[in-house]
Amino acid sequence: MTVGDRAPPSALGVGLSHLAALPDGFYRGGGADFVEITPETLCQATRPDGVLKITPDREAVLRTRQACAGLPMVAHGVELSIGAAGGMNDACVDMLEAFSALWPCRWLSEHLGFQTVRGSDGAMLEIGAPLPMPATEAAARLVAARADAILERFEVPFLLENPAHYLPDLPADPEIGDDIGLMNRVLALSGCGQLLDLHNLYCNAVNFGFDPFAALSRHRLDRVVEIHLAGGSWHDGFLMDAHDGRTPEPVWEMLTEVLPNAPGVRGVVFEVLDDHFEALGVGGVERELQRARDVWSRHVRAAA
Amino acid sequence: MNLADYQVALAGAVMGGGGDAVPRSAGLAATAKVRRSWCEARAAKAARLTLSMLHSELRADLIAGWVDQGGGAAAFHTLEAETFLPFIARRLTNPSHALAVCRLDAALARATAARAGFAPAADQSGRLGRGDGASLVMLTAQPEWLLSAVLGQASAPPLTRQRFPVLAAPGITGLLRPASSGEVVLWRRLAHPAARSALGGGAGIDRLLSEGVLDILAA
Repeated sequence: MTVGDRAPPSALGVGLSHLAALPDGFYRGGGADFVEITPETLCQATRPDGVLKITPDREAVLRTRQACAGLPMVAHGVELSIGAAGGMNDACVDMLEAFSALWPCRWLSEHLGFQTVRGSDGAMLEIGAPLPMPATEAAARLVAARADAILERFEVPFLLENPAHYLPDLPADPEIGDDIGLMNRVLALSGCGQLLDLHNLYCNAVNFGFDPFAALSRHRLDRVVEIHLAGGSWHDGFLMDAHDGRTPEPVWEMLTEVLPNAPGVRGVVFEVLDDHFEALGVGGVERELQRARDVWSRHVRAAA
Repeated sequence: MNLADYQVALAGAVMGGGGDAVPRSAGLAATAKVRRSWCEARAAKAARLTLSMLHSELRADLIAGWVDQGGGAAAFHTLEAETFLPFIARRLTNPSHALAVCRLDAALARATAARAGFAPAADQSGRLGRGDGASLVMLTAQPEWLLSAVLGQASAPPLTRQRFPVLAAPGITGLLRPASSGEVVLWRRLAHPAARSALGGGAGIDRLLSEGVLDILAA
């Protein structure tokens, strides 16, 4: 089953990653058309009999849903480890099912990467940070099969996000080439869509010295359902996807460039971490959302 | 190299291991540094109360030592707390206010983790036992005094032989409350499950069941 086989979700507009630090009532104010939730932040984990179990905290989910004032929600997971050769995090998939029963989402998304490996004793080991996949046929097939299994289990689209990373020497099969080739190959092999993170792409372009606009044109833009915007900062000679500030100008230009060429886009989300919200402030978040809305509205009018 | 072997090698390189399978680069070093900072942040969050009782140098040493041996990687802070807090406890003076707070931190983590799936026992048949996620902690000072010390608003009072029992459980409002002497006796009695009829009702068993301090164990 592919994105194209299903009725596409309706366009949502401009969204915001959920911020616990925002004042009550922000989501009722009309600044965001929808909210992006990371389900794991509203869950607890236990290991009964040594097996990981992730359970939505019902009270926390319902409280957050109420705070979001009936806005449509998209779920953006972070712990699936879909590319782990040793096995993805099945507890995460079970959790998403339970979470969806409490708060249905318009679509699910995750990151194209892995953050677990199987140790020499056979136990699953958490690495502590997500890592990128090699651009190989084996990696593409592994992820594509799992993405299709998730699509079969859930009644909403499933998207994969292109990651930012700082590793210049990832193995690659010549016919796939690089990160973009890997994402395109996964999309060719499976029915999932793409969450195109423009700031991640921009970071990779800056750090590895390629043209982000030329890179955009290599993406399967017909499969993009959601776009991420964010800000970052420089550390140790790398522009990092820190979600710690305003969206840089080149990323706004990339958004303007990509929207007319991505007919399936249903929403644009501005991401910022709770830890960095204070520096940006409510006014800063509102300005980012308004600017995204201006670009989105121009695109919608032009497409009509 | 197959995908699984490559991922193990890359993970090892990022986690500070040796080997030549992954080329050394500034990007690899930056990735390792990001990972380490995330692990340190997760560890600090998992033991927030305990660490706030300690001098900054000891705090930094404990976190660094923990991350050096592979800690800080658990995505969920209650799972991180399960392993990091015992690591800290082994390095604290016994008895001490800091060790009491460390045990309180662990009790709160257990209660927090159990809260998501908590429902009071419905079936009243079966033997009584301690609830999943429930703990009894013997504090070394009044809870509000320790809390003030945790928040840095007051110095901890001198250590005495007096203890202040508190219960932590998923169904307690705020996860924590003082325990009565009867509840302490009952808690200790239920180190091994027992029939309700053998316990009498003096310590408010129904309340303890509703709070998840106690549970009905499957027959």
